[in-house]
Amino acid sequence: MSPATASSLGDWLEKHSTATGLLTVEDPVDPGVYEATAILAQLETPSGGPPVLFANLRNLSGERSPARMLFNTYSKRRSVGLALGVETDTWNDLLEALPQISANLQKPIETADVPVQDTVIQGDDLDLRILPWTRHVEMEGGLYFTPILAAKQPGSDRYNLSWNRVTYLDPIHAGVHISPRQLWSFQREAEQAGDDLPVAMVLGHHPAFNLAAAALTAIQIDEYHVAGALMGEPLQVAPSARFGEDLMVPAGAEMIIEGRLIAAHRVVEGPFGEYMRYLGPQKLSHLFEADAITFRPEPIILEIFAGHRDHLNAHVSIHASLLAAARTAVPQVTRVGWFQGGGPTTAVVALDKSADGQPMRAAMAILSAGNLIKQVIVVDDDIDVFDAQSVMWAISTRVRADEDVIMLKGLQGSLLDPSHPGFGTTAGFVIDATWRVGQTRPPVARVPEAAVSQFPLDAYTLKEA
Amino acid sequence: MHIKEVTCPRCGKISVVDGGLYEIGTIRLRCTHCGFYFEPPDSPRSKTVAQVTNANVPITIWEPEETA
Repeated sequence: MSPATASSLGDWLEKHSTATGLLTVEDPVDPGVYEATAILAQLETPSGGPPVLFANLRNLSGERSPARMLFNTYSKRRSVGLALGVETDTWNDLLEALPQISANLQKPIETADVPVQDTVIQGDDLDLRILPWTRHVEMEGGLYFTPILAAKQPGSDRYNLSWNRVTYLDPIHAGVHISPRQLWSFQREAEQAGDDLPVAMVLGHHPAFNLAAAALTAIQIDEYHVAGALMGEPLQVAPSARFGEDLMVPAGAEMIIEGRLIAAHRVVEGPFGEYMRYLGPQKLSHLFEADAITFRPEPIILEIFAGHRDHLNAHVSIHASLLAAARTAVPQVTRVGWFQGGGPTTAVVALDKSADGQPMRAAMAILSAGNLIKQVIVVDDDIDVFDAQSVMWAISTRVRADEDVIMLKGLQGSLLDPSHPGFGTTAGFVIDATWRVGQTRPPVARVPEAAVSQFPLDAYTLKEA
Repeated sequence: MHIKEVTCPRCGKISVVDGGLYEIGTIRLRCTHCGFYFEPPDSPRSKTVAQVTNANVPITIWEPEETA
């Protein structure tokens, strides 16, 4: 598999406009009153919607925003593949390709060519209202973006990329929901020392850059290196306008808001349409204070159509990480399914089982890969993990609940899981829906293939009633 | 996160909030519909900011200046 070749988001769009079915809306659109997402909702199909570029957007001051905005970059599987340089419509092909692509870590290169700093707004001129903040879904608690936050671990040179929901609060402040993973840990480290954490909110880059932010990466791996792997060449970086070399930023990005996560402060933020397909509620989130807005000429903000296919498919990196984790623990794992339409905390593992105990071992690997999954169903590899009917058939016919359903207590859960009480623990289960090794399997009821060949349908006259 | 529905005393509409935030009770919630900030009157006030944020430093709640 060949990774994507890095370029700007605009170059990527132009190159793949036909293959992705890109649509452009030239009419004036106010995304703050659901106008953009209303258009997207009407274009959405069960297999996703086309990428839509809104070229004339109203900002919070009621004027034309300097930025355009792209939605549905990941809504179609084909587009996700094109982001990674993989030509396929098949989800499993992407899952298989991603670990190979991700493994080719590339060290960033510092450059003096910094398109994203073509315009730099700081000081008294700084005003977040110039941006086309967006309302996505009903009952959302404010105006939002879904940028990538780039931050450096305090006391190290390692960068983390994190995909976050960010809401407008006033001309220099925003609220940021942060899940308790790596960025959360960085902020906590800084906060304990009494320091704010410098961050760069990247509002648009090559679509592979964003997928690097969604990867489940080991804590010691620099995610700027992962971005280089997915983009197919080293990430070009440059000193930030506000923090200089203390915060290197992606030079080829479309737009960046530089600022700090303010220590010892929280703000009421939310609700927001989340990937669980519910609204994540109003909660206490982190406070961001902006120091600079930088952008290239005619920047394009890469925005997610929250709670829809675009949002779910953007988790492809996590999905691939789950497959890799399960296969590392149990090489007999063939596929991992992660229901896109209602099972964000449930994974299905298929394996070519050679020993009892492998299902539980594979399940534990997935449960341990992050805090997203709390329920795992393990099936034999004759079951299609992407087909809920097929999975339910296995559960219905291969499970003895007293032996094959294992309850798990005391798990860390996802803050966005509405069944989960915040920072308390949650519970999960493993269902082993595989045949036991050595067990005689009942034949599946089907007509012999040889008979179907011998008696082809077109040899008969079929009269309609 | 457990969800709690709260009714805005100004506009009468419902917002959905984190059950933990609601149970603190001394932090003003923001009405999703009209932007009004208010303390939930029927909160049990059974949780602390530290419990809900899992922070290990004292936390100040910040609000925009133009709150109602």
